[in-house]
Amino acid sequence: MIMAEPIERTESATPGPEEETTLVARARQGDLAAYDELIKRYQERIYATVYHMTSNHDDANDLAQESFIKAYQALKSFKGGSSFYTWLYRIAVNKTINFLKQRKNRQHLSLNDLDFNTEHNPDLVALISEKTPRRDAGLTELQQKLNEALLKLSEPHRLVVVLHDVQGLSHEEIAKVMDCNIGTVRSRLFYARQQLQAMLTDYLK
Amino acid sequence: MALKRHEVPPPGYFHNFSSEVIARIKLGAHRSSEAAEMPWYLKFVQIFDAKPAFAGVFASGLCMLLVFGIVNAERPDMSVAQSPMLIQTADNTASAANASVTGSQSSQPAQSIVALNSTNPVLDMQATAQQPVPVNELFSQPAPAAQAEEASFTPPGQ
Repeated sequence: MIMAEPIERTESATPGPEEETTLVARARQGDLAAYDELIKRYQERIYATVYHMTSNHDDANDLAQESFIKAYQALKSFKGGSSFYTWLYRIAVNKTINFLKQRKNRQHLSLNDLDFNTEHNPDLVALISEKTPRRDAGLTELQQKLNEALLKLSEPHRLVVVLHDVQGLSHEEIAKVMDCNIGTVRSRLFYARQQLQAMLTDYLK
Repeated sequence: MALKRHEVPPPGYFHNFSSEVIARIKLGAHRSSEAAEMPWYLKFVQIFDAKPAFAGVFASGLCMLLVFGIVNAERPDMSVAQSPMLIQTADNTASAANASVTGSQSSQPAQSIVALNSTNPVLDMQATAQQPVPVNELFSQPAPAAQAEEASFTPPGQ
């Protein structure tokens, strides 16, 4: 199983703090154009987080949209103690966790397609071409199994894995989003990885 | 986990995402402003539209109120004088007032204060007359017809 290092977020994707503050201030005064700009900056990250938590495109679409709407309505309560995207993440994560609690007994996977670059990822090519017990398994099957394994984790553990290994957030950022300390994040990440490795033994070398 | 990063939504999904969110925000704001301008009875009806169970509860409440009103209207009027509880209360108050009157002279101011503060007609009359008042006078009922006595008039000098 590949446990990738956190992704380096590009500078262009992350706005400078001043610019973000200005946009937030304008949006707070009801400027929807400014809020539109903020949505465009964070839509992919928020969608991806929610999607990897739910493993369902439609649910992720609804939850991501609702998170942005709720954030807009609650902008006046945003004190600026943390960065806007941490605050936005927290809203999306809380909304998703509440949703998952309600949906506990009906989990339906609706997985997105893999993009074109998947086949060119050397790690993944190596994974499916080497002599593993399930080497004939295609990427789609692997994707299915991986998502099923993720869904078996508890919400806090899944969230830590998604935010760290998929989204590339640092331990400190995850601690802020989840409102817990860094030690808790680390232990949850360790436990979640162990669980995933146990569940996906057949696919590991 | 690298595989997870390659899962992407349908092509073009993010092109309309922000505009959809903004449209929903505008729709929500429009609805809330419309709701603010709406008269109260339309808001009331809208609650029933949103939750039909409320309509049932409201209708049941109205029916119960109607039945209660009908039952109450058909019950014969109980006059105040016939109410045993009220008579008992009046008796207790009267005896208390009598006790204070016969007690001592010094109790007079206290009794008058009680009489002034009280709306009980028994206390008022006891305070002024210091003698038992016929019950029919208390409740403004006509006194039993006095026994007629034949008038006898003898002109002087006869």
